[in-house]
Amino acid sequence: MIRAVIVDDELKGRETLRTLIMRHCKGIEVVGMADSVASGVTLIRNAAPDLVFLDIEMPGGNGFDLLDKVKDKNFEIIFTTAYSQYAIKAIRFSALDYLLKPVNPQELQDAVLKVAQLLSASTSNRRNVDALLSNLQENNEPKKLALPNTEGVAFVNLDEIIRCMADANYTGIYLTSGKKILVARTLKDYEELLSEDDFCRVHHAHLINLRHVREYIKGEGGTVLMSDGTRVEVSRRKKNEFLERLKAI
Amino acid sequence: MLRRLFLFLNGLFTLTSKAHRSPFVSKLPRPTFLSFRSLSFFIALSFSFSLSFSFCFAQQGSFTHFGVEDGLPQSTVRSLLQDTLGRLWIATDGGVARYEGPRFTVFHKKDGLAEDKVTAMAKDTQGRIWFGHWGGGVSCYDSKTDTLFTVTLAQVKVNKPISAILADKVGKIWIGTEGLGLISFTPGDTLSTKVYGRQDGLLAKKIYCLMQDSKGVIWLGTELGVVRFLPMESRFAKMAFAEIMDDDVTAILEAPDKHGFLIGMRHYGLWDIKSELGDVWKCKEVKSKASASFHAVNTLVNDGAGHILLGTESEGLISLKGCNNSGEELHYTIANGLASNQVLSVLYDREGNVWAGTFLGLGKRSRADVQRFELREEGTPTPVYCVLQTIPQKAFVLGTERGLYQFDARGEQRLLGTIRSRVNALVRDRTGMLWASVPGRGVARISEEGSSVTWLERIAASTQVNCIGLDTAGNVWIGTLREGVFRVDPKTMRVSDFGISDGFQSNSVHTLLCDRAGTMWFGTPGGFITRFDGQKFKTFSEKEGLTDNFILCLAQDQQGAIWCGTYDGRYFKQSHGRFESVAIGIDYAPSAMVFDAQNKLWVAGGNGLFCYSNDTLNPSKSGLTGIEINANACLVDEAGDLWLGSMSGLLNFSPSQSLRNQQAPILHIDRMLVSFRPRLMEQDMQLKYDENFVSFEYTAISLTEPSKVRYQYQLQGLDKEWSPPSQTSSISYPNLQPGDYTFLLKACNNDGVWNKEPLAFRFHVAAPFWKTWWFWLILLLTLLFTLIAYIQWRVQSVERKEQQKTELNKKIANIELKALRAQMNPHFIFNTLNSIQHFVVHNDPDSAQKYLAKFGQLIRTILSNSSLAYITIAEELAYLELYLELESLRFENKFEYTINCDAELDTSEEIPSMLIQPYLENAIVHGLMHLSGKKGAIHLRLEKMDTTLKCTVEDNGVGRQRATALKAAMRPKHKSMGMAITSERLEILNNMNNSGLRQTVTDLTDEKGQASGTRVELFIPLSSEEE
Repeated sequence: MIRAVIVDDELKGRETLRTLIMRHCKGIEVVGMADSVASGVTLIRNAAPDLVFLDIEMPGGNGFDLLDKVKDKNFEIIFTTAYSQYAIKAIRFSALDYLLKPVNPQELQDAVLKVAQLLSASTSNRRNVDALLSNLQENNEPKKLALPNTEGVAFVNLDEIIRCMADANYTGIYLTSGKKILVARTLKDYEELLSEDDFCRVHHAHLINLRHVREYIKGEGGTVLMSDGTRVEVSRRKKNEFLERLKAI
Repeated sequence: MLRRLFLFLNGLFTLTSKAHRSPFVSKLPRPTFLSFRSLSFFIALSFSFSLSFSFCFAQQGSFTHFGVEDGLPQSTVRSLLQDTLGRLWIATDGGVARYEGPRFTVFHKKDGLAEDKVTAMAKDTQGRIWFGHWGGGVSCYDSKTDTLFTVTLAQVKVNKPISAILADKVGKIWIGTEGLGLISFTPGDTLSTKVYGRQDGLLAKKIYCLMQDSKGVIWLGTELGVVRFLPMESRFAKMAFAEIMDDDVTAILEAPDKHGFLIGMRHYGLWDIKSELGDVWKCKEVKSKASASFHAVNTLVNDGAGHILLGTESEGLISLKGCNNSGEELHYTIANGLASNQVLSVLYDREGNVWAGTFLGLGKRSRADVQRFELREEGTPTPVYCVLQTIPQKAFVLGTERGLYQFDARGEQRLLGTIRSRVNALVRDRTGMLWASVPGRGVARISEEGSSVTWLERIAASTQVNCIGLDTAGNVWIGTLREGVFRVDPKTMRVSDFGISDGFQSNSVHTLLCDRAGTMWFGTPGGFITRFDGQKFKTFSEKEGLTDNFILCLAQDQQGAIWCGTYDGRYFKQSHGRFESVAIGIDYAPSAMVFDAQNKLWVAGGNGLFCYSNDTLNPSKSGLTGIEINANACLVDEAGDLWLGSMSGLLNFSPSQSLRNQQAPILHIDRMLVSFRPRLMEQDMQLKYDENFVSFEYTAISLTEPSKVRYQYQLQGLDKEWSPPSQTSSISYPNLQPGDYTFLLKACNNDGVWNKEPLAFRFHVAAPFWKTWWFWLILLLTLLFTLIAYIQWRVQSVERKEQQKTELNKKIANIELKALRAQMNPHFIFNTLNSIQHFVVHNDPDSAQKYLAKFGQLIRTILSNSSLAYITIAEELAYLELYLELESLRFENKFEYTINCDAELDTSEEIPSMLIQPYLENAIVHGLMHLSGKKGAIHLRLEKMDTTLKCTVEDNGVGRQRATALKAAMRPKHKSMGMAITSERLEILNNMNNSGLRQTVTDLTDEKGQASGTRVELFIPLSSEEE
């Protein structure tokens, strides 16, 4: 049985989530609820839950502040938020889970199931939490990307990534160290995640770090010579966008 | 008419001749053979001595005077010099004058001379002129820079008169002083000054003259005789001559043959010194024709033609032929126009003029090339009618008004024979007998010595003989008036006569000529020319080209062609059996014609003597004018000299030493003015386009007759031809077009001798830059470029405007979209939905329905309002109320709100849609949400202020400061989109409509000074007032 607590400032929010958990999820018990950061910290310390549903937006401090204040993070976290783009980006960078309110019962079930698997596998996303907090500390823009793979989670700085290449439902990430990390996410996910950080989708199979472009060779679409010496084809349709973004750097 | 008059006079002359018939001569009746009556040789001889003829040289030339009144600074002329430009420099006691032709330029101490009194002058190889002064000063004139300056000698102070100055061939200047000996220096080298004295072997202290000979030896005339200075040995050597006393040597001249010297002494005459075998010298005193010594010679000059000119202290100027006075000796004194007999300096200029500087002024004698010998009897010159050369050299027989004279060029003469009346024609046959025509007496045959005279019987006393000649066979031909021509064989004395019946067209023969081929030519008055080739006579008339029948003179040129001159002043030349008219430039009827050895035709006629040669365009008149030459009284001797018989004596000149002044003037462009400003001239000068007013000032120096100098100029590039000759010595060319020009200038002297090579000065006037091709090219390119640039700019500007417009529209659309999204704050929407989910989850369908209905209404309002730029105040108010209601529901009545609307406000007026909502949301989210301990309150108030809607949003929240602090603590940093978008919208609205939207924010405090909320005032101009 997973022991869970809910931290949310809105009464309606807390009650709705608790009701949904009870109706749709098995093997999980809500052992407490808190309506602010301060009461949440106390609750977690006292109840020692396995799982915390943590609302990000709260008056007098948000969910991340709470995480800062909890010393032993022996629990998994599912963030809940009505709407917080920046927080969600950071969370995704760290490969953590979140729920959007109003809560979709199916998503809730999946998230809880994933947590149950983690718990049963005795693995943890805690390192990811650290990464999240570290990313949040840096000025707004998260720089460390968590890459969950078969061996666990690799944390890489964005400037270490030269390019990403689609490989069916996986994505191969090529690093400056010469290593290639295969991640079970689509290239589209990374395009969404990284397009604000000087990454550009130059081809349906390629996402490149513009800062690692060494040379552009003209052609119909052209070819880009990357800093590691690899050549990446640029599709005709993406050429203009690519050149404009390259210029903007 | 004139011709008739001539014939009439001729006849008249014959009549008068008859009246003077001599009683001594009678005629023997021998029709075919000549017989002579001898006359006593003694009678003839006594006649010759009884008549006192003086035969003298005359016309030796006279001097023209120049004095202070003509421009000299002072009248004592101590030195004369001609510089390289031909200008004459005159040193006087009161300054230096420079004569350039018609004018004198005077230089004084103020112009740079060391002193006014100039005692010596010399020119050096650099074209400089050096002046020595009475007080010891030295001055110099540099013609290159046209500057005159005083020369200061280093190391020595000269306070004695400088009596002589010499610039030697290596550029050294030598100064002879009266008391300080000899000084030398090199110009420009102050250390080079050297004073020579006893230590150098120079004992004399007074140097009177200096001369450098052709070998480079310097000769000094001193108070102790002649001293030589050998520059190579740097040694002085006194010349000791046994015959000559030590005396002041005042003049030294190297002999024209370079083998000796002439030395003029103050008291002991003039000496001719010849070098013989090295340094052995032979002395001989040169004396006058009267065997007198020439004392006190101030200066000696060689005229380059074998004459020595002596300037003497009291006897004027004396000209000697050669160093030994072997020829004529001419004396020029006050009687010849000199101002004084004290001649201090003499100059023979390049044109042959002699200049004499005297104590009282300057005299000039033009070149005298004609000698006249006068035979005078009782003061009247005797006319000479014919000239006959006898052997030996320069011995002549003259036929004169008073009989025959024998004469030689030394001036010795004697009467020949006993005839004492006019002899008008004369010939000497091969036996040496003279045949003379004596008008009124007939023709006499006279022995060479004149001892026997016989008359030719066949010629009547009344016959007028015009001419006598000799053919190559030795026959004597006699041409008469109206009686035909006679031929006499001197051996047999057989006489033949010829006339019209033999082929003549006239029985009168005016002149006859035997050419070198032996053919006889007869010129007749009115009957053209008749030729006798030994067999028959042929007359040349109009058919052969002779357009004038009255022939006065005949001559044969060096090519053998016969020339004739006619009464009408026309001249013809025989060529291929015909005669052709030749324009020789004169139209006088000739009295005599002869070709000289140079094949120049000399024509005596009118009142002078003219010369014509094929290579000279203009005939030149000799210096002989106003003298009447008698008919055919001319002769060229074997030396080529011309001898002419005139009414006033015998004239002689040498065509080889031409009559003309052959020296063309020395031409010099004095300065060039460009736009009235003097400009330093340099060949190939470049002038700017606006420097196109060019003037030249120039001088041509010909000292013979400066007033007759003429100039011709041509500006190649502008003038096609030379200008007509003129005396103007400047020319201006205004407004020259761009281009290359060469200014050509030439001048002629008094005898029309022009410079062979004109002076040429090249210059270039640049084209103004706007006339050059490159300027036009640049202009064209610039225009083209400008046009292209303008078009491009225009296109770009339109494009940019379009783009701006598009961008603005995009921006507006974007901001409107953002505004819409701001209204639909995701937090608000999702939290509201969350609340509805709560009601659904907890089985409260009424509340869920009510909540959903209001939410739906709000969304509809937002969607409908956001598509409109303006909505009415009422609509805005309804929307705001709905929003506040939903917010208060969501926050479970954590705050209350009030809405006040001014009654005066017309709520149907339009305002920009959805401007106010973000202020309310801001107040709730940042001001009220963090509030604890008290219930929040938000007040919205709309008022009308003049033309503006004032909208006040006031809350009692935590205040801006704390809200900002709270926000900063949040992670991640939340961007306040709502307010940023609103500010942007305000800006765009203001930009678009210039509408004056503005907002003010006030922080509210309570009584204790704690923050107690925020007031935002928004001023919205009302649209109705705008219109």
